[in-house]
Amino acid sequence: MLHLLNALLFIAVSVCIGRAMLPAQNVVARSRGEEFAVAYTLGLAAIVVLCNLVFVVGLQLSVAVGLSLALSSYALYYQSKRKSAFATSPFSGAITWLLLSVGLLSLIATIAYPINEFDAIYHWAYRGKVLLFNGTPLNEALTGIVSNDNFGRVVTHPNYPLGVPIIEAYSSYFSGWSDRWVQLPLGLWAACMPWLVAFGLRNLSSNAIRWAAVATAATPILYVTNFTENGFADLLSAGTSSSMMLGGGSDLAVMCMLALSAALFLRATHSNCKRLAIAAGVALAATAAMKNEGLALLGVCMIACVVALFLENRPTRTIGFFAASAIICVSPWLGIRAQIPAIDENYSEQLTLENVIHFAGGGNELIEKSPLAMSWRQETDEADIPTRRSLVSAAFVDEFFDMRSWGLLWVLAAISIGLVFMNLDSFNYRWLTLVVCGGVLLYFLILLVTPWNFPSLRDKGIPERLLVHLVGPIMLLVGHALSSVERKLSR
Amino acid sequence: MLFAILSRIHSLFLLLVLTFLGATVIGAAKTGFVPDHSRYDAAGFNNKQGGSRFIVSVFRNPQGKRVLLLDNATTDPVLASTVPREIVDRLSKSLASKGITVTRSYGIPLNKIDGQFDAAVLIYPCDNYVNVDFDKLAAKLDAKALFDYCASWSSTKADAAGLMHMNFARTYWPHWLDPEMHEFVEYMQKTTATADGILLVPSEPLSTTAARARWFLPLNYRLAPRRFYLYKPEDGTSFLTEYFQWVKDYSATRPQQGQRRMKSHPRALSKLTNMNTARTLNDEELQVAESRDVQWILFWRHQADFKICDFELVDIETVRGWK
Repeated sequence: MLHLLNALLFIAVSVCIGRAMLPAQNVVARSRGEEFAVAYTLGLAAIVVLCNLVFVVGLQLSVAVGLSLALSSYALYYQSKRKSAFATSPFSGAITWLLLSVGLLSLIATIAYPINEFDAIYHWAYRGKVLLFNGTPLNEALTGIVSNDNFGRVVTHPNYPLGVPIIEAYSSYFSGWSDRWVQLPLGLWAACMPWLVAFGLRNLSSNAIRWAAVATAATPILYVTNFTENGFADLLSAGTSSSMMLGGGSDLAVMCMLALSAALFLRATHSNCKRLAIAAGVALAATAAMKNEGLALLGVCMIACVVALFLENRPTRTIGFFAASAIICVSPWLGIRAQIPAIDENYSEQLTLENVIHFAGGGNELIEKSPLAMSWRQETDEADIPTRRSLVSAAFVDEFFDMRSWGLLWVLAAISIGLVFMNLDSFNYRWLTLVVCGGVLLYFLILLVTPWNFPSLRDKGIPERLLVHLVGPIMLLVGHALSSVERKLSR
Repeated sequence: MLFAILSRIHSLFLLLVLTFLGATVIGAAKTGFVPDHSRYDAAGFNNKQGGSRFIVSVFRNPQGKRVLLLDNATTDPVLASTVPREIVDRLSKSLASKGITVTRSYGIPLNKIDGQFDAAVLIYPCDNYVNVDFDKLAAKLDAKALFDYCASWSSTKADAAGLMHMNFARTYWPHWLDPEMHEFVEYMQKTTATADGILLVPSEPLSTTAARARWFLPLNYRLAPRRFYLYKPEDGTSFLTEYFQWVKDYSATRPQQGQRRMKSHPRALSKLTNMNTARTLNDEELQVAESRDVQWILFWRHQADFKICDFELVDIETVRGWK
């Protein structure tokens, strides 16, 4: 019971802080559901940034917990002073109940089992335990993996970011660790997504908001990949295989933070609100604090801002606050990361022009050194090794047409991208298009130069586990496209 | 217009989503919301030739040895994990060709099988065979060896009866759900303090590159914040390619070379004294234990299946005393 209460406390603290960070309703209108989803994810992002800041200056988790509790108390008081009515929900009663039901089911499915996936246990929950028991990541438990005498501490991928571990450590700070209940705050990623999309699209037509939000909730990869691929067997084993996206992993966290950041940024540019722009920057920094790929996505968003400035309607002031906030808020994590050994995942070293030219020019796939029998693949004929670019391209095309995982998301995305030429006057449309295209290109390049055998990565659910990060911007773009089509038709 | 229709069609995937979420919750409820082996594919014996070499290799001279194959009658229902009859026939013939006397049980309960044997092979995982009285079975087996082709016997119960249990079936449930590993974690939680340091020392060359053999990962997670130290963990805990190389590299360093096996050291959990993994430490290992303030040495044998006989936890003072 105490474990559940501790996890609920984390959610409550996040919501309080997030609500206070948002501007008043008369500046940026939102419904009750949007308020909860945006406040929760934004408050969570702020706590992650705060914890990283506390760690980098040499303080412990207890300080961050104390500070956040004090902040949330003040936030409650502050919020009570600026009471204002919620905006009308863009959804009908039936759609609201449908979204709530799917969200609740996804939450129950997340906590139905204690953490039960390799990455969730060893990459993320172990770090959560380190933060809980040692109070800081700058401890031998993470930094002591390499040493001159060949022996070190057992830990996987030490430089993986601390977002999910922070959430788990905080959610068990008062109650002690629980493999089941530390997942409770993580069970809300998929549930929040439709409301984040609705928030980001609120200035558009209500039809566009409704369909984009429902389409978001209906995207299978928010919950599972390749479900029904093995027929009835998938039904019997649902929730046990690594194809489940829900749970203690980090990919949905990146997706949710990026969606939040994009939604806040769109509203910020529309209302010219610097407070929202700063909040969007906090969310983008939290994206980088969830997975290493988040840092690259931060770069994509920044480059998209710059490129989108080339045409008319330039919200330079908003972009300035967004960029400054993101860079300031991500720096504590970068400060921590610099002190942790990067043993096997250092894309900044891999993503060189030389590597890109080599593989894009037809460089061969790398030979897997470990026995192929382990991954149930055929022996590679060394005289006939395929090029890396052909394998990565085929994998991306496979994903774009994999309806079991994506539904029609990529078809909708492709049409929306095509419609950019009819919407060049809209900064938000241009920016979203660039973020989506840039994100796909980024992951293509990362996989093109990866130092690992690509078919082995494919077996582990790459690239779909990366592409899922882009669902938020894609759905926001689809919403913009739906709205623009509707506008054109009504003229 | 088409675009709007496509977005509505996409929304129909909600049915797939709801089916998955419903199946996940119902499936979890069926096992009491605790992950269970029954939610995964049944274990299977993948060696189409029958794997007689596994059995033959245990005996110095297989000639004249007696092996009991616990299989099913043709009329018995085929249970999950049952080894197919044609493979059992091949195994039987192959063992016979090496001079081993093979007795097949054809589903007869163990207490009705007369005679003395050297080893038993589980082919048919019926209740009678899986929940056998291991003490009675041990009395029937001179070589005290159990070959499990269905991954159904409890190695802890077999160990308690002095039987050496070897699993050769492929299991599909994740390694962190291994019941023997959980028992060992409980033992370590009681024995060690949370601030203790534990040095992992292999008792012999690492014999498998199976990913499941990385038992240091779940032990490290379950027993946090205890400090686990391992040889070059940056490779051993990394992707499979690096781990594969780590197994080869670590074995090549031969850390056990010149060290004395301490088979007489009393075992904490296992009854199999012959299988004791404890040994003296080499100078490098002793230095690491000193510099890292290690209180315990966890000797281990690198195997895909977790067996308590493959692990022995010894306090550092005792280990130092052996040198």
